[in-house]
Amino acid sequence: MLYNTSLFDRFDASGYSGDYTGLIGITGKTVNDELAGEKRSYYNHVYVHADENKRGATVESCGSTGITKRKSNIYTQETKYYLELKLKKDRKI
Amino acid sequence: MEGKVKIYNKIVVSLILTTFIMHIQLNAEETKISPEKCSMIKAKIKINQVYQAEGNDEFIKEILTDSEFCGGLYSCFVFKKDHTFILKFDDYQEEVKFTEKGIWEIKDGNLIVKFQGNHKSWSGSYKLLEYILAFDDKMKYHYTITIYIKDKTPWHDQGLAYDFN
Repeated sequence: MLYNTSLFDRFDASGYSGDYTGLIGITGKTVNDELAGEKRSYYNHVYVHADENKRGATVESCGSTGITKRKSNIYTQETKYYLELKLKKDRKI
Repeated sequence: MEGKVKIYNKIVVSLILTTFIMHIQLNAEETKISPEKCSMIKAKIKINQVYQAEGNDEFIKEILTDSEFCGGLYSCFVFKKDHTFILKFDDYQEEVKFTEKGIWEIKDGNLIVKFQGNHKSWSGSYKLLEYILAFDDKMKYHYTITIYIKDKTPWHDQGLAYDFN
């Protein structure tokens, strides 16, 4: 998804300041890999913004609890990228 | 045969009772936000307004004390009045589940935690960023208070949130 430029526009989370509605947030995680003796980073979660604000409502699939709606985005600090579906103007609300 | 059934029944009943007692003990350590604190939060914080954590140590301490706050995916902290905490960690991706204890403090806009068990290396000072109160009358719990943590945390969540009415 991150590299599919025909389907999505990709934004760095740290620099984005537009409307967040419908954006897919992608979070990153860094762990200590004790076997390799170094830190390892990877993308570990996606969610969808259901609100125009950065700290607004989100929807996600969250482990065994299934589809979860949150009133405020708890992932603002972990989010690395936002993806926006490339839609025609008449498909946007 | 009848004797064996009786023994089997006793074992089953014992197992059920043991599970029930363990469940009670586990939940006894949890602390939820009191109704008075819910009212205080609603009175002092405007909905959807962003408040900076810096300079609000006492208020954040008041919110967290004797309350249970959860991160996004992995962690739930119970912050007790005597400045001890319990972290319930549930890493669903790596199937690691454990409970840790330690000491906590809020100072100069930082969450300071000192772990006492196997995760002493997680001890440190983590900068808090801001806090916000969200509202949605269509959801079971109408309010969520969220405190954002600016610094990376080893428990992989960078927020502390609680849903209430």
